[in-house]
Amino acid sequence: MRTTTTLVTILLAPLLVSGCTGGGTKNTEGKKLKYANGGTYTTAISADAGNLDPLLTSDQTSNALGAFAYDSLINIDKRGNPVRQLATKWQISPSAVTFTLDKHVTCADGSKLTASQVAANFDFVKNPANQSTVIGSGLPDTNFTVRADEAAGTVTITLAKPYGFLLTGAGLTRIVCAKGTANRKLLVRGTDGTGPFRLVEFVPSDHYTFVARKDYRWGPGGAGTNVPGFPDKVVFKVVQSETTANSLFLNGQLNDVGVVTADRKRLQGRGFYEVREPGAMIELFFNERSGHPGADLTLRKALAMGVDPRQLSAVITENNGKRPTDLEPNQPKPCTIATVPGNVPGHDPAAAKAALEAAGWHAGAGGVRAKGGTKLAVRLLYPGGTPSVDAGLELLAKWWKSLGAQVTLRSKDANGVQGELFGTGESWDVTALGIGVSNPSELVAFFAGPTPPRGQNFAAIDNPDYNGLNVQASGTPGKAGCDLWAKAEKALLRRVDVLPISISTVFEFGNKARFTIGVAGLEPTSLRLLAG
Amino acid sequence: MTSGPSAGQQAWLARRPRIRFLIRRLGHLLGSLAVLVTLSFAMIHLIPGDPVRIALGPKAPLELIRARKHSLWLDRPLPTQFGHYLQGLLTGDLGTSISAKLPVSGIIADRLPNTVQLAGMAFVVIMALSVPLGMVAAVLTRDGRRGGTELAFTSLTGFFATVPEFLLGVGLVVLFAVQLHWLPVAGKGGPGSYLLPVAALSVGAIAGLARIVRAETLTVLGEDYIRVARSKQLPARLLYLRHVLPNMLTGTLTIGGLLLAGLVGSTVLVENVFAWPGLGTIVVSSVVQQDYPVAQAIILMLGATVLIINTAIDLILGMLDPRSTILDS
Amino acid sequence: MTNRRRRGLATALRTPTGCTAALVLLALAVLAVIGPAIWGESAARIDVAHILEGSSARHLLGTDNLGRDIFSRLLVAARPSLTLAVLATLVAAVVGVPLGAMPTVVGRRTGRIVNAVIEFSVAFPAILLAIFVAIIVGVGARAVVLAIGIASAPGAARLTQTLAASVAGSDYVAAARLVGVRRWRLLWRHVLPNIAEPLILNLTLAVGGALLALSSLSFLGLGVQPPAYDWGRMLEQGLGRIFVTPVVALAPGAAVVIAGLAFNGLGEALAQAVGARPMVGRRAGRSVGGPVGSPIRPATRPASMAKAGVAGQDPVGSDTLIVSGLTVSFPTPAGTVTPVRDVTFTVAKGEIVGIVGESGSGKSLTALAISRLVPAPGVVTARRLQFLGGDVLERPSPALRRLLGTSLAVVFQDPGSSLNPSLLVGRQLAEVAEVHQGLRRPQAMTRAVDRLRAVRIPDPKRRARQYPHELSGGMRQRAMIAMGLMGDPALVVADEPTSALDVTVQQQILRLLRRVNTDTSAAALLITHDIAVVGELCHRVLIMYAGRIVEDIDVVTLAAGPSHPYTRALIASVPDMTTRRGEPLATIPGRPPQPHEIPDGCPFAPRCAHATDQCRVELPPLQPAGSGGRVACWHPQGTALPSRFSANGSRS
Repeated sequence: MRTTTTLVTILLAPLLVSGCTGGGTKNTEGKKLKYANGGTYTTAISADAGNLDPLLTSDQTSNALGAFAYDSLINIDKRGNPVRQLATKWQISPSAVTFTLDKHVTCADGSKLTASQVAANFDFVKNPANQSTVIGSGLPDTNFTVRADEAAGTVTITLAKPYGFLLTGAGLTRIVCAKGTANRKLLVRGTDGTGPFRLVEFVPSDHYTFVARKDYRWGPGGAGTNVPGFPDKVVFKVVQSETTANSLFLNGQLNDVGVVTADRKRLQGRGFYEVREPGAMIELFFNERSGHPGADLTLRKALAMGVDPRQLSAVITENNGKRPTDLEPNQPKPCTIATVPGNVPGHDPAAAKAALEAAGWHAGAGGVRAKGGTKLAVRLLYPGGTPSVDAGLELLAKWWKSLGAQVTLRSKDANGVQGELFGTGESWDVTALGIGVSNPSELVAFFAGPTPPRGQNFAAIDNPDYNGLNVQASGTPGKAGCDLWAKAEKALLRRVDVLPISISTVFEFGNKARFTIGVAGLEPTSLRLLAG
Repeated sequence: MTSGPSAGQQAWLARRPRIRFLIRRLGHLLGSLAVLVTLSFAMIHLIPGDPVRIALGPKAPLELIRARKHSLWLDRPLPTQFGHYLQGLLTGDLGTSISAKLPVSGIIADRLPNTVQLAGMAFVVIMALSVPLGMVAAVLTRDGRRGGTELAFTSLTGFFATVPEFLLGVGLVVLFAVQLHWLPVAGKGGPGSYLLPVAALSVGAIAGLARIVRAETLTVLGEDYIRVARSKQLPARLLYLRHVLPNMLTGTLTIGGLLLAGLVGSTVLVENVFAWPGLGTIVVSSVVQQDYPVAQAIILMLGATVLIINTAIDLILGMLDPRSTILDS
Repeated sequence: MTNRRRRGLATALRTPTGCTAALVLLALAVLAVIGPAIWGESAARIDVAHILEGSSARHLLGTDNLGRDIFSRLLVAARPSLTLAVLATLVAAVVGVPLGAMPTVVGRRTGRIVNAVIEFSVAFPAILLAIFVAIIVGVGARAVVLAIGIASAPGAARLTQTLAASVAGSDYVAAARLVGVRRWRLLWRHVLPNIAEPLILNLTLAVGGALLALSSLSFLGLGVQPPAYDWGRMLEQGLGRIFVTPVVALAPGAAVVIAGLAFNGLGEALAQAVGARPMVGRRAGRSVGGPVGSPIRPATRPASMAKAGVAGQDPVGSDTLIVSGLTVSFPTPAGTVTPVRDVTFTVAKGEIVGIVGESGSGKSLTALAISRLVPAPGVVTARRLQFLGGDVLERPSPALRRLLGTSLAVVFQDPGSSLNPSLLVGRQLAEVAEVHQGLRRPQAMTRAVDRLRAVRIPDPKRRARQYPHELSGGMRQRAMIAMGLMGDPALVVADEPTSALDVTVQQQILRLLRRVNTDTSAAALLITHDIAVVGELCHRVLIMYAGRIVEDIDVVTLAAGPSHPYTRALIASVPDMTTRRGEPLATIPGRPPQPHEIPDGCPFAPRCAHATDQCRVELPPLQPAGSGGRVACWHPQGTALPSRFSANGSRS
């Protein structure tokens, strides 16, 4: 499948979750499938992978490829619950976690996975000289200890300070086997893990070939590779352009392809297997630092009233999106309460203008409103490059101009946008992007707390209701917790700290193939090739 | 050459214009390379802002940024950095990619052959087709004969020389890969996968060069020595291959050298059309992702390739062309 | 130069290509001016209900991501597209022109460095330069304008440099420099004004290249950023839809290509009109020097001979060469011109015959016709044209080719251009023996060395292994003669063999020709405008005027006093010992008629002091004259040659 780097999701989530995570529309087919006997499954990735070392990489492609060769201690199921993978059990306290390993797991070279080997991974992460990317995404800092108990088959990680996401942070870290740990150079362009595949061919910018391990049976929910239709080989082709990938798919050169643009029309109605997955979310954030228009609630509300989310969503998703019902686009998610309807300002340009007038923003030269000599100027920063998003932001700018704002569009690539958001924070007023999370707790760092560079609260949001509720919600398990999270979210939405616009739909097509989409992309154990 | 008094050496060189020419051209090349290296080094410092922070992204803790800057030598004084950069170049160390965290030399080594392959094949195709095409066109349309052929030749070559290669590439894909299913859509694979990219790269250049070959040939055909050769009643084959071709080749190769240099640039575009695993597909992404060590190295490598090609062509011309004009210039 | 350019523009606009291209460019310019005013509104009208549609009656080219009409946007985008291209070209000019003008202004050493810099950067692919600039400046309109501008600057510099160098070498600049005009002032007052017009013209044409380059950068995503749009961005965005709604990509692509073609087409038409290839800035990506220039029609044309022999009834003889009724004509737009008319003569074995005449008299064409070398549109007819019994006008059989290749030697005026510069001297000689005499390469080479020795070239072995440029002019002409001696020469046609040589060398070559004549008994046909040369070398002389032989006379009689007034005038114009110093040299008043203005009567009549009415209406036939020669004159003169012929007739 093609991950959505061409989409607008900026991966701000601590868990490095891809924009198109799984479990959306389930395609149920009546007829019985005829599976092929092995074979090669070919798919496309939109960008080259960098360093494949799972503890040093941070890019999405390497992450998607890594899922084929490496397992983590735990995994996340469709409902967002932690499930066993390399670890059969775990014990969690605020600042420590102990994993008990599955004793049957073997590495790709046939050696057994030991507790000390697992611990060696965290020792590597712990050493600042290694510059591991797990620090900052999985674990907060290098201030922790690791202890392996070979006899009991346990690994314990103890942090100096309590950390809310310790279980997933440590549990989702990919585990490298002994040979790779001893010689990390092997991992740059090769793999040494316990996963269902191992990398046999690496041709940068062109393709990556993985070969299946026949003895693998410790996948999520006990999934294995010794099943009918399971491919012998998986080839990832690097194809930047979605149009090109579609052509390859139609030419029979790819078994699956993920499409977000209207180019999907070429593929639809031709009898291909089709799955729709929720893709990237687009939401508007206002820079609430003083001196920016977003610091003023009246202005935020007025600007929000100038937006017609239905139209904007249609443009951005090329008529194939949905209106978000909450702030967590990714599946699987633990809380499903719709928080958006009724809690965002409705589309009403007249009221918006009236509100602006009432607040003392009067139209001046060229129709631009000003108050006390300050022009109503909005610098709209967004990750551009896709025609649909460019068009959507253009539409947004037009609406706000008609309200009397002076709008400057600033399109940058995703990295450039990140650089500005997490820089001084002074160069933008409104930004359009998506935060790909599945759990409301993952959002706290973005909506509260310190601003960059010390924190991730890039919009400098200070919502007293949210600040209180999120602490309360974190400590409340289960449905009651979800209720509190919903309250917290509504507080954000009512104060227009964020304005959700759309969730795109990724059309996943399969040709003689079946698959499901997991947390990092294609779920390796779900691949099947069909006969004929 | 034995070591002797410099006056003696100079005299020695004066008697050997080709060696003198060789030395001078190589000196020229070294000078150009020095300029290129300085420019590529300067590039990262000309960029406004902090390239490392931009490249590492928001989640990067300060310690990581510091460590990365240290490992990139960006925290040292400029002359030290330059010295280190030069030392790295000499030892084949081009730094580490910020985003891929791989040695840049490895990234280049993986892709440069693919780019060179594509450009090289295109060059061979261009030379192999444009020279005969232009010569035949010149012979057929000399002295204003066959006005129709001339019109067809000039308008067709004019058209193909104008169409941008990426547009031509897309057109070829639509026709031959998507509609007719004859050839692969993209990617590097079997021999068939070379056809469309090479065609996209070469068609325009063939058209352009064929026109130049025709013009050059017409000029040569008007020379006195061709009249003399005709008076010798040589067979046409000898007349065109021995008397016309070598004299037309000097001008053609001079432009051919420029063309080959331009091909290296065009490959960037065509590789992006065909998802070709060369330098072209990553130079743009490295610019967009602000992965400066990679961008820097690619500019350096492609630039050096171009300079070396130009020098090589100059040397070949100098050796081929017996006239002293080139040697003395 | 300026006038030539201006006329060039007018001529260019009259050609179909030039006219079409100019009209397209004019339409584009008009579109750029009025487009936004007319279609601006419909181009901006958002219609979210109808996004991404294909071609329809309402939207000719479909709609974009906001439901806007792409056709309108295409028309509106003419302005930004052309503006950016023009700006990029301006940047190129601002950077490149001063750089290119520098060598004229600064000292020689700095100039050399500047030239080296230009050479270096011209060779560097523009697209790499553009990417380099984009890395530093970022993406967007400003960046691409700078990138393309800087990338095209070397081309502009090269152009300026070439133009300035041509002007700097001209007489008035040299004069200005001589009187001490300062360099900068020289540049401003003398050089720039003179190159301004071609410079501006070429830079205008370079806009087309910039337009194409812009679209390439837009394709890479480095170009104009939204909400701004130009053709390049429309094309780039359309490419993603090329399979679903192809017209969306094809239309902007066509716009870019048509504009590019128009610029190139105009440039080409201009080049053809002016007779030079334009030197225009480069396109990103394909850095061939500028748009494909049209080839220049060469001044001299390769030979091919039309056969139109008419069987004649002239006497058959054992003469080496028999020419009867030889006529050479060329079709021109203004009608057929006939520079050689009804020429009849023979060359006997071992005879040296001179053909003398002013330029344009047809003497060289006569020689070319004999050697089958008349350039293509030329039509050669003759009642008879026989060389050693072989019919030269026949379709060339291998036998005839061998005969001509081995027995007929041709020596041209300029030994510098008669030898192939890229072949060893020896090889050029040897190939005759290889092709026609079946000698193997070593034997042929040995013979070549032997022939070089025969023409008294010192150290012939070494010379044979040298290239023509390593030989002196005289030596080259000797080598040419040696080439004629490779076979079994029966006739040496020498067309002004000494005119390009030093006086001392001239004598040597003439002596050599004579020696060849005596040693091999080969006949020679010596074409010259110098009647003095004839007197030294020839047995017999043919005087040609306006395409005809006016007198056929042996040298003895020539010295004694020819019959034709023109011959007499020619002789009188030769300075000799009797010419008194201080007295003006005799000249023939008037000028010979051009081939298309030859009168019915005697062509020399307008310049002849003895002309009568008969002369002006009736062509005098070439008839046997008393001395055994022939003359074509109604009033042949007595034998006594007046010492001063027409100094009094000079109308200066």
